Amino acid sequence: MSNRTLDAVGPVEPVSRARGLWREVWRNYRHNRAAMLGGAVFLLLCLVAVVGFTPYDPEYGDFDNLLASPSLKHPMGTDNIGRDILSRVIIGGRVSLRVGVMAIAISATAGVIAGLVAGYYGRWIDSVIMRILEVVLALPGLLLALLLVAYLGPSLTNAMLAISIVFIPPYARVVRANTLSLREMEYVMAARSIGASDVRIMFRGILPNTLSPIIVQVSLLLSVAILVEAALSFLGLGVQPPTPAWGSMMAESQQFIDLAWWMPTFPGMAIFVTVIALNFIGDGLREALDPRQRRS
Amino acid sequence: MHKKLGLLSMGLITVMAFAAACGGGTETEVREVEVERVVTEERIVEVVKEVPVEVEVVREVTKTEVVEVIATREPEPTTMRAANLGPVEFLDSAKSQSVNDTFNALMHAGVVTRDVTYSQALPEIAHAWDISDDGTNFTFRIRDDVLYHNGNKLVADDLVWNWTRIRDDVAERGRGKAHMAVVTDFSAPDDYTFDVNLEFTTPIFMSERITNLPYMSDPAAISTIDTSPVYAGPYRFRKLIPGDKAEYELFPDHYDTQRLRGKPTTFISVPIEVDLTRIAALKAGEVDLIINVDFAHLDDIEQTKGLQLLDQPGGFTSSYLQIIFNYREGITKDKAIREAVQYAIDKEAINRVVFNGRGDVGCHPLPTEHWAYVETPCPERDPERAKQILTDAGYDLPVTLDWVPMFVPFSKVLAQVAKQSLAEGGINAEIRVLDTPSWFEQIHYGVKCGADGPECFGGLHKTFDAGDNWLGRTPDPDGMITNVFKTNEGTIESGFSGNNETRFYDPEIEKLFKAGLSTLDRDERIRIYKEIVDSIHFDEIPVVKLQTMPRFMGASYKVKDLLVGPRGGAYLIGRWEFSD
Amino acid sequence: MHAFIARRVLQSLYVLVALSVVIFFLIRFAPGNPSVIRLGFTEDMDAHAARERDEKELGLDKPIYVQYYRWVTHVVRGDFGVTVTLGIGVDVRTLVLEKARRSLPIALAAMLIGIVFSIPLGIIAGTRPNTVIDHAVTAFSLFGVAAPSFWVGLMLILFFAVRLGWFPTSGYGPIEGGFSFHNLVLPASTLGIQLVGGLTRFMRSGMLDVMSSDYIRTAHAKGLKYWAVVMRHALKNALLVVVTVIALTFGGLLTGAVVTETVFAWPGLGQLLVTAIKRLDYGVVQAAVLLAGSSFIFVNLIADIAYGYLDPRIRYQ
Repeated sequence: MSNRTLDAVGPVEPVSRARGLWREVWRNYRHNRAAMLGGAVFLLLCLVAVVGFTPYDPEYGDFDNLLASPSLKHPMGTDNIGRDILSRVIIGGRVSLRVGVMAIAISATAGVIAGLVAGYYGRWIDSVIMRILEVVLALPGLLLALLLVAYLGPSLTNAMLAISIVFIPPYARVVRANTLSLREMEYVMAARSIGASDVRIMFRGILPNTLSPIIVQVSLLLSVAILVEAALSFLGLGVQPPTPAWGSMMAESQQFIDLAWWMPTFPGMAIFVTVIALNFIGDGLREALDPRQRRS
Repeated sequence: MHKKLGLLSMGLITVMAFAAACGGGTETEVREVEVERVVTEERIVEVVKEVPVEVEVVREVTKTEVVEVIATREPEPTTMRAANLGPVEFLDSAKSQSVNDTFNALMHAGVVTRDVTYSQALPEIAHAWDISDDGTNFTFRIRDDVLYHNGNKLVADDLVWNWTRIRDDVAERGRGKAHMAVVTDFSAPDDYTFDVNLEFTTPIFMSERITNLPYMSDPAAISTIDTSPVYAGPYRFRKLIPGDKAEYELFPDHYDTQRLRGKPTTFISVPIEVDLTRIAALKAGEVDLIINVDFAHLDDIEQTKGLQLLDQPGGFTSSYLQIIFNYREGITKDKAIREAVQYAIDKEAINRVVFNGRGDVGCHPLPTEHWAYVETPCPERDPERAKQILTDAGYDLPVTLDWVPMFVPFSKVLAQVAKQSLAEGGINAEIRVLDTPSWFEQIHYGVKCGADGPECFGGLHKTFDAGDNWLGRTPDPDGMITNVFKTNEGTIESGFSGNNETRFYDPEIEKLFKAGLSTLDRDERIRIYKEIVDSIHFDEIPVVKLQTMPRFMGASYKVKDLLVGPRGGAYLIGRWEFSD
Repeated sequence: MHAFIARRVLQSLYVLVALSVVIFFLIRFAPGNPSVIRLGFTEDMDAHAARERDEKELGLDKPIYVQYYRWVTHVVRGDFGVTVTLGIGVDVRTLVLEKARRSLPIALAAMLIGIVFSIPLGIIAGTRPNTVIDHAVTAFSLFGVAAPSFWVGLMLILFFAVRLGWFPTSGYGPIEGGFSFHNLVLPASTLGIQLVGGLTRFMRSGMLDVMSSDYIRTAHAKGLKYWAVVMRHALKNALLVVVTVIALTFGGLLTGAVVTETVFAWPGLGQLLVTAIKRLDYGVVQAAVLLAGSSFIFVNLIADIAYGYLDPRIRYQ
């Protein structure tokens, strides 16, 4: 293991204990029924999306069967182009979850790095990073996304990028705040005194101990990312046709809300279930990570 | 802890106060209403009508007021409310290109006006006119009772002034200059005579050119034309809240009292962008007229009690839908590709899925009711033949096309139906959506490029292979057919006109355009346009016509006899009425 | 403390200047061109001549830094220019302030709805974690988070305005003129439902944190009544989090209601911004973003100064 040198030295305790900590977190998490259910549902959703088995081709329109209400043949009905909504919800999940996960991955990575660097080095570096983030924050979120998509052209990737940039500041703020307090801790001081590199201290020493707030934010922002995609689609700048995504499916159905309730309802339910599952997971993780909140 | 909380909530209050201070908050709003109640009499009546029966005293007082109002003002005040797609953009109609400005037509009066089919000129400011034998000189007799909305009198000199402004000052920024293309000069020999000379006689000068210049404004009020215009039409401008509603009021001193009869005293248009909200507002009785009912809701409006669908008399429409190709660059330069698309596209399916079957599918650019329409057999849909054409031309299937939908809402749905039908013909249409500014820049105008090559023609590059194009042109065959294929001056060096997205050009055809525009003989014109259509639509195929598109508006039954013009706008000049 | 405030104000000014640069360049690099938008569909004519003429008139032919310099020097004097594609010659400052004034009632009302519902819901859920009630509140609040606002808005219109006729479908008042609270109900609820969702989550977690903290345990141990502890000690601290969130959301609400404003045809700042972006009216976009951005920066500044006052450590960083 690459972190042996650090392991050998006592002061880097929180790092070396990490694996044990995770085992304990899992033990706590397992006892939370809502969290387990949420996890199971989310895994199931991901599985369905990844396997992607659909009863029909999600992009094929049966032009003789437009806006058909739910039936045995089409359990969720068909849309205005005669496409099977169930198939589109399944494939749409793949797109929506990917948009969400990628957006979160990009913004979490960028946000964590920015927060760590700002908090760890402090002084002018902190100042510069925080001012830049303040500019991003001061720009209205959806409009920043709108402009970026207008600039890069409407597409799945660009919607994803736009959403990511909007979400960088929250991560950076959380991580920075934690880093500020952690960098004064004895174990970090000690690691520095034996010559551990800054990068190592930041990622091995500080980051693991700020994971708890990050994880909670991930679960919240993932659902927000799915919804921002829906809003972008409503404004005509989201995922482009014929690719289905839950948000864009709802946006496309706006004209038919009063004519075909099934068009917005099923993708909407998919979003709802995902958001609930993610929140239960988030709550479960938080409780598991924070010993004070543990029941029993 | 107390302190901390207090401080934070103080912070919040400060924010609210700050925000309120910079905007004025809701207080001003209330004041606005009160002022209006004091100022305009109509408002009092409106308010009074809603007072419940139980409040006897109030009714007594207001009854007398109503009587007073009726005594001082002839027509019973009525307010008609219309929902537009977006806010009014240009009050100076000479500069307007926007469909959002459609209700500004209420304020206009031109030398002549048009009938509901836009094919004939009717008297307006000019009550009569003489035409020279060769058809190049027009002498208009101007009414002596035309007043501008500020009370100033209109004289023939004002027409000269307005036409000069449209041609020289506003120029390319508006559509007027183009409509004056055949005009060589114009003058006002006296206050009530207006002389116009044409380069050559043309059948569309009266019906489509001069009628498109209806916005004569008072030269004395030109400095406020962008914010508070003064025209001479039946309604005068009252106010516009930028990005929001526009208000017009009946101009009681308009010369044509017949036209004023039964019209609402106040006309307000509000922008409601979302289709479903617009329909909901109509259903809830908040507006009396909505423009652009989406095709999915046509049946719904027809079946809703108290609502009506306004349409075009006899279904005559000059609006149609076609596929356009990048005729000069890329893969669609090859006729085989364009022909394959023509055989593979499923027009019936597009009509059924996107337009609720309301369109009239065909291949001739003119609707079948058009006088210049000549029965022409359409190529039958045949995806196998499309594949054959492509393989014969040496392509490996599928051939991939860059399909850029227009920015109108239905285009994305259309693109998906097109994609599926083209796939059956061995063509893979990759849909690429552009936002509106990019569509204009890249498809309509083209991006400037260097030397001519496969990716650049005439200094312009258009970044698409194919896409849909929705046209609402003037109903003369020249407007409907040739406008879409013109160059600026009849030569390829002069560049292509705005509507020629395909950049089709053929000097022989250009001669036919000219011939069709300079003869008054209808039989001759029918022959010319048949030749043009045969050569373009059935031979060169820079475009594939999909269907003729009827246009609809929704209205409550308070609106009577309002018709929709061939281009889809309300025929506001007509004898429609409104009763509250 | 004075030095801290001075430093913080200076920093805010930096951010404001940076914001003006970012927005100026961002909107100018967006594809398309206002002169093209202004021309729209043209009849037979030489579009390119017209385009070049317009570009010259709008000053778009100048290098971008010259354009920026010109804009900034005017803005400093309070001159935000006039509109070029959203109508012609309308004073941008008046337009933007007018729209902000329209957005304010929705933002305030939504905020009120958010506060009134989320605080009790958060307390209920936070004091009974993982019970049926907690899960019900969670599900309800997540519905607010998960339902796209255009769907909620259209459903409210269809049911309450068309079916029941209780409230108007759209606009900020009767079309004939003025503002009406009647019109405010549906759009504010649409935005409010979203806020309730988010705020309840914060309130709940705030309560959870506080309830498990040592001093609350101590309070319990002292034998104080359960609800007395909740209301007197826990609530205040949990509120602190929520108030901060509210303060920070408020700036965003002014422009963040884009979708709600669009659905309800409420001519507010958010809607103005979207149309201005779509129609590339640079001056309007710049002014609107500057207004929204500076109100956000201002809130942040106030919050920071407040924290600096409460927590001396922050001052000396």
